[in-house]
Amino acid sequence: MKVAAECRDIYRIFNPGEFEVRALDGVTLSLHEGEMVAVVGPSGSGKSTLLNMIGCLDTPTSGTILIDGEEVTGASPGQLAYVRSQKIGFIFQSFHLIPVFTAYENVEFALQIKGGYTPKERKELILPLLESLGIGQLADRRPGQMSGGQQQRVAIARALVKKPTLILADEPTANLDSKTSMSIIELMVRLNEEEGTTFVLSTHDPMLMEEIPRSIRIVDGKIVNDGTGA
Amino acid sequence: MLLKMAFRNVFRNKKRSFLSMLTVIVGVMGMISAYGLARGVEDTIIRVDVDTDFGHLRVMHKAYNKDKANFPLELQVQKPKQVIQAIKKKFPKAVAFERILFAVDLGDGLHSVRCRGIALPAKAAEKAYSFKQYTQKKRLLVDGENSIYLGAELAKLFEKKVGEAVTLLVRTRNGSLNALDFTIRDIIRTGNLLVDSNTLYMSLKTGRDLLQMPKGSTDVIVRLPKETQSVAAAAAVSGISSDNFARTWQHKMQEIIELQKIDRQFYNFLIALIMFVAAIGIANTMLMSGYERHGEIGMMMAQGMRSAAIMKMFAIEAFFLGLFGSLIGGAIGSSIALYFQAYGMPLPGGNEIAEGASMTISTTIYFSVSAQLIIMSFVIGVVISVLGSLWPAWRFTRMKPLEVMTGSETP
Repeated sequence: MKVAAECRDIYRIFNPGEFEVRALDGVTLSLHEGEMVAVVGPSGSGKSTLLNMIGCLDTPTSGTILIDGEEVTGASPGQLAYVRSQKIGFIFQSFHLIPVFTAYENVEFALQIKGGYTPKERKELILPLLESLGIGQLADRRPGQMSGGQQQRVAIARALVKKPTLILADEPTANLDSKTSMSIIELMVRLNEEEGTTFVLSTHDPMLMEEIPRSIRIVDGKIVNDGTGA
Repeated sequence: MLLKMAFRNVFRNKKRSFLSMLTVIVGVMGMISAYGLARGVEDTIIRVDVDTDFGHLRVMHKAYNKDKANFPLELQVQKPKQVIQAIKKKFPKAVAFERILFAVDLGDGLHSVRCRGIALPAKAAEKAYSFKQYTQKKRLLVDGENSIYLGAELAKLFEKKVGEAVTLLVRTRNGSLNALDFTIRDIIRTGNLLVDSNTLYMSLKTGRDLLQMPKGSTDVIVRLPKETQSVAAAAAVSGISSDNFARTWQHKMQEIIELQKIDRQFYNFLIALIMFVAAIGIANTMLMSGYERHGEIGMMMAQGMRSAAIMKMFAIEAFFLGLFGSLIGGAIGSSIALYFQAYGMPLPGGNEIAEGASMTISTTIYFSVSAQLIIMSFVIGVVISVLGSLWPAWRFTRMKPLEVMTGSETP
């Protein structure tokens, strides 16, 4: 299987010196296309930092990161922005939808940032996607008119629509009730199995951990376990 | 989509947007009103003097101005007929006529007031000054008739109405005193305090009889088709007599024009200050707005939105704030200025000012508003708003998406 993302001996050290914090301490891992991976561990263990590194939202203190075979460490902010726009989708715990946009417009905006689509092409991509995620009827609603689960589905649609190499989801079910969490988990598993979408999730949620084939456990910035099950 | 988002964001926090717009509203409104007033003062003072007294060119004896307070009848314009002919030859549509300025004691038997008398040909004067628009009964002066136009403030002082009589006492050309009763043909109110409070008019023929001055005149007044022709007109009469002095309206108004330049500098400073405050207001709004929306801005950056697009998003939002602020400010400012342009703004204490002034003062100031002024103020309002947004936008673009998203660093 092709490697979607690779981390080679990455370190992320905050406040270097006397009071330094080693958020990531020599992490090496490979994420393959079509995989669904959970990054688990206690609070402050470095899960989110790892996702931020893979998502090109932060840069490591040392080490190398490759996305889709291309090295991104040392890239300029503009180049990193380009990589994010083309190859990475994000799903956040707080959804971060644009409140003045409708569900359709929120998804469309991601395509506009990626570029290269006509309005007609965008429409042809977005409407079926919203339908497949069960929110077709909410296309004209703004986030304030939707439930948390519906908003997270819009956020998933926004991440999916640009067909990225991988989707990073930071605690995607943390702000949802158990029933809604379950439906979101099932949705992501279905997308992974049917569409081959690569997901990397950080989570504390036992329900989510149970559903994911590969779990990477991090403690104090180090990978202590990489295998099947939590 | 940036345009759509920026437009909608303006209405997201209506109160804050309105407060930010308020500075732009005040700035644009102030700009239109202040410059409208400044131009208006200049235009009103010039217009009222040109329209009711000085014309575009005045030809007189070169020594006249030194003794003008005494209205010397012996200091006469030389070869007035030739002066008029020369003007008519160069500017056939111009109106030029002789005039006699004289000192007169106006009385009603109990009181008397020293004022200015002007004798002038009735028809030519009507053509030059359009007295009809200023008089109560729209009556023309009649050559040879012992009747006068009386300034409105003088009529008020003596409690006189049209048709009633007053007594005029003058020193004739020969130095003797002459007193005659005159009927008030009409009462004139021009807005020029020198005219309204201190002047009476009569026909030239009547004036000659009263002053026992069968020929000669103190000056020639010229009204030209275009005010810019005054310098050429002065040149046309310059060779007629070395004793004459041709004074253009621009020359007379130089003092007021210089004063206005100083006034404008003050207005420029004031407006710059207001617009600076407006820019700070907009910058503050954009900063607060960005800070509140750090999650979604960070998300946009996470999705790969470039710095230039972030800058553009802030600038468009500020553009809308500036646009709405400038539209409201422009509408209010233009309405105020256009109202005072049409109806004038009374000048309180104008009489007192007039007494101490060396130039004609109007009792009413008419604002002068041009489309250019309104458009310029509008554009400045919008540009200042956009400029105000650049610094906060730049601050956000300098941050990493993660810092913006988590609000981990104060932008």
